[in-house]
Formats: sequence, C-alpha cells, structure tokens
Amino acid sequence: MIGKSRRIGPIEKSQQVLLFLSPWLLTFAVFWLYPLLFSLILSFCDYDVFHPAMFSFAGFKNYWRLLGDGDFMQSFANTLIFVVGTTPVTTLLALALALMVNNVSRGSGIFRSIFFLPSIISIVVTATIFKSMYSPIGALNRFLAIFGLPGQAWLIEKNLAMPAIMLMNIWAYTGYYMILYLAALKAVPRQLYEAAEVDGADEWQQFRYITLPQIHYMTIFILVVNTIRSWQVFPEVFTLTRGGPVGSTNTMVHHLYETAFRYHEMGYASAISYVLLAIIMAFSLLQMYVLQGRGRDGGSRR
Amino acid sequence: MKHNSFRQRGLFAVLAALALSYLYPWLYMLLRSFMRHEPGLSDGNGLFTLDFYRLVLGNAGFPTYLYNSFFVLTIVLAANVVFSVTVGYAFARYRFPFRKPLFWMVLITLMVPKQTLMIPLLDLMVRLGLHDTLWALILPFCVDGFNLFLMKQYIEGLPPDLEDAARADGASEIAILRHVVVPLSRPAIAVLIINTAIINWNSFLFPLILTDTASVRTLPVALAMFAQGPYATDWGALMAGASVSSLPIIAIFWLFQKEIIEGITSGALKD
Repeated sequence: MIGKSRRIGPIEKSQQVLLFLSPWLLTFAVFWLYPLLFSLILSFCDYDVFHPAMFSFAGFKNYWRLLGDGDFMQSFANTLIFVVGTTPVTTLLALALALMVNNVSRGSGIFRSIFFLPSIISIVVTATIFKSMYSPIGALNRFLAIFGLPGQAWLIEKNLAMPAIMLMNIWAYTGYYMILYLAALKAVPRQLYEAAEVDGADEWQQFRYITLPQIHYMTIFILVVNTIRSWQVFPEVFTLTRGGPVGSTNTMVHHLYETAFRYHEMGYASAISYVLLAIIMAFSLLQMYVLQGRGRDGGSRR
Repeated sequence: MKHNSFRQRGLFAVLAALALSYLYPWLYMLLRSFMRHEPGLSDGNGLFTLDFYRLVLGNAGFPTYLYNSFFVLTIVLAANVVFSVTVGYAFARYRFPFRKPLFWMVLITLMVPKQTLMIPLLDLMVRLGLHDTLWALILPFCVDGFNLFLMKQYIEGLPPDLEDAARADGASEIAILRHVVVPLSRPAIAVLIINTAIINWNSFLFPLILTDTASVRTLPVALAMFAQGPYATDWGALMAGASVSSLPIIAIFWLFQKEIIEGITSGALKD
C-alpha cells in the first residue's frame, strides 16, 4: 500500500519537497497534532476555553469521574444501542436493495437514485423533515391511523424517541451502502455464475456460494465504516431531541458537546473525547486490517 | 440469469413501494412548504402560499447562510485541489527523509475522531481571534488527509515517463505538475472535488462550535437553530427552510449523479 515509488527523486530537490509538503505539515502540526496533544493534557485538567485563567491540574480525576457518572454511562449505553440497532439493519437493507436494483430489468437507474439521494443531503435537513413527520399530528401518525393504529408522541415518549432516531438514520444512510454493494456486485466475475448454472446451481445456491463470498470484504468494510460513523451520531440528536426525553437519546458525542459547550467542563469533556477516540481507533485499526487483507487477496472492487 | 416476467413484476412492485417510502419525505417537504393550513379546512388540505419562502429567504436570513456555506466550500475546495496534488505528488514521486513515517501520519489522521480535536481547536481559534469567523471553518480543512492519500495513490499509478521527458526538456517541477500530472489526474481530482464538496457542505459539528453569530452560520447549523427557535413547530416554515437547504444539492445530484456515484464508490475509504 505504501512506498512503491517507482522513481527515486533527485536529492537536490529537497527544498522543492519541503515547499510541496509545507501546507500539509503546517495543517498537520497546527490543526491536528497540537489539538490532539492539548486535548490529552486537558483531560488531566480542569479548564474552560472562555475562562483560561481558571486552569488547574486534576490528575486522573476526570477519568475516575467517568466511571461513576450515570449520565456518561447512559450516553455510552444509548450509543451502543444505537450502533447495535442500526448498523446490522442498514447493512442488510443495503444488500437487499442492491440485489433488487441489480436484478430489476426496468428502472434500476431511477431506483438507485431515489434510494441514494438522502445520503448526500445534510442529515439536519432529513432530521427537520422527520421532526415534522414525527409530530403528534404528523404524517407518521396519520399513516398509522389509516390502519386504525393509535398515534404516538414519537420524540416525546421516553421509549420511542431513540427508535425514532434510529429509523430515520436507517432511512437516511442505507442508500449510501447500497451504492457500495452495487459496485461490489458489479465486480463479481460473470463466468462464476455461468459455470454454476452449467452445474445446475439454483439461484439461492448461487447467492450463497458465489455472491456472498465474493462480496464478503465489502460486507465487513461496510459494517466497520458504518459502526465508526454510528458511534459519532450527533446532528440528528441535536436537531430532534437535544438528548431528551430524560436523557434517553443522549449519545456520547451529544454528551461530550453538552459537557464542553453547555456546562463548560472542558477538561472532563476531553476525557470523554479520549474514550471516544479509543473506541473509534479500535474500529479504524480493524478497518485497516480488513483493507490490507483485501489487498493481499488481490480482490479489487473495480 | 433467467428473468421471467412474473418475478420481474414482483421485484418491480417491491422496489416501487420502497421507492415511494423514500420519495414521500421529499414530497411532504415540498407540499408542506407551499401550503398554509387554515382552521376550518379539513386535514391535509391547505391553501397555496409563498409566505414560508418569503420568511425563510427574508427575515430568517437563509441567503446569508447559503452565501456562507458557498464561500467556505469554494475556498476549501480550491485549497484541497491544489494542496492534494502538490503533497500527493511529493509523496508519490520524491524520496526524502521520514517519507514513510510522515505518510503513516497522514493515515493516522484519518482514524482519529474529529470530536477529540474540537475543544483545543476552539481554544486555538479564540486565541487567534478567528473564533466566530468563516476562516475558522476554512483553515483547518484546507488539506484533508484522505484527499492526500487519494492523490498519492493515483499519481503513483501514473507512468513517470512523461514527467521524465518534460524534465529532460528543462521544465520546472511546477510546470510538470501543471501540464503533465494535473491533466492525467483529472479523474482522481473529480472524485476529490465531489467527496470534499459533499462532506464540507453538510459539515455540522465544527461550524456549530466555531461560530456563534447568526451572520457567520452555514446552512446546516442555521437550519438546526431554525428548527429549535420560535419556528420550532411552524412546520411550513421549517419545510421551506429544509427545501431551500436541500434543493441546490438535489439539483446538482440530478446533474452529476453518475460522477457522484463514481466518486462515492472510489472514495469508499472515507465516510
């Protein structure tokens, strides 16, 4: 993956190299490395950006506090529920849509566009529309009324708010992963199916023994990428519920946001952000491992 | 594979039903934004009105937010194109000390969640006096690690012969970039532009944190604030806000969807 430069550049070009690299080096140092380290230091301190004079060292206090903080634990549990509740559904639905769009003989292009569109629109727009549809007199309750089902206060009821956000999230992002699955399906060699047909394999057998193994890496890739994205769920919570009712939709990033920018406990918030970093890094390393595995097998998507 | 027409029709019906559930929210948004509901009219019926758009495009200040979003996007895009090509070229073609560890650093920047950087970044912007300006939304995002990765990989795959020939003719490195590397890298640059544009246009967390005043808000933040302000349950106004925020993107989507889908697919490494 790295270091296959074909031509070794002349060494006297060193100031050229520095000139070319400098924008990145500067951005990297100022807007990435420094914030990352400063955040780590802050997690061992008490600090407020807007009152920098009240800075004090706190040792491991912030990290100990996490363990006994019911709100943080709730936000962790909520995020876990969100990830476990959405990621498999989104992935399965994306695969189903991709298979259907791939096999339908008429209108596959337009179906693909319709399913894909929500994923490139700002999630805030989506949340705004759903906020209206979820309202007590909104479209969802009117739809349920057709079947004689009682309406619900979707975003106000403690047990319904999180599922409502999850449903919206699934609606919004499935099309993106469908596009990835479509690319993977296109890359499966046609000869495999032809050979299987000669051998008398039925369609289920073809799916089970050819399609699934052939798109295996894409499935793992989608699961990991989707998990990483879902751990960071925030704008939809901010737009729809602000973490309520009674903390039932308070996710980790939302809790981090509130701790830092509403309660101005930026040291403690930094400790939360490092817990998030640990979780995301673990999944990112898994992602790299998966991608390198794909590289070894030479199974390219294109 | 065999396609008998009965199964095809069933498949089409299932897809059409699903497509309807995907189209419904957009139709709802449009209808609601053009309709005033008067007491006494039966549910679902309303009178046609442009009042909500007048509100959104007038007092609610959406043209300003649109301009802010566009301003930030333009500069971030231009910077990313220029810097990704130059830095990617340096990583792909030059041999220099710490080349490998530095490139590992590029990859590691992709793994760290941006939320971990947000408090120090706010702190930095306050100290630099850039807090609550559009520059706070531009400077940190001018050189994106994923774009560097993309360009480096692409340029490495190009045959170096043309560059060598140009070099033998005495062309400067900048001239080689402009006249040889950039024209050959068009497909990768297109992917870069599409991915960066979608991510930047929809960016929410940093614009939320790094700005305070309404006059420097970008569209997503402005819409989220609008959805919580005095119009929080004025559905017509909210839907007009949502439609003003999304219609430009929907239009661009219909024009460039082939390119966008290609971009998403080859840029799948990044979310």
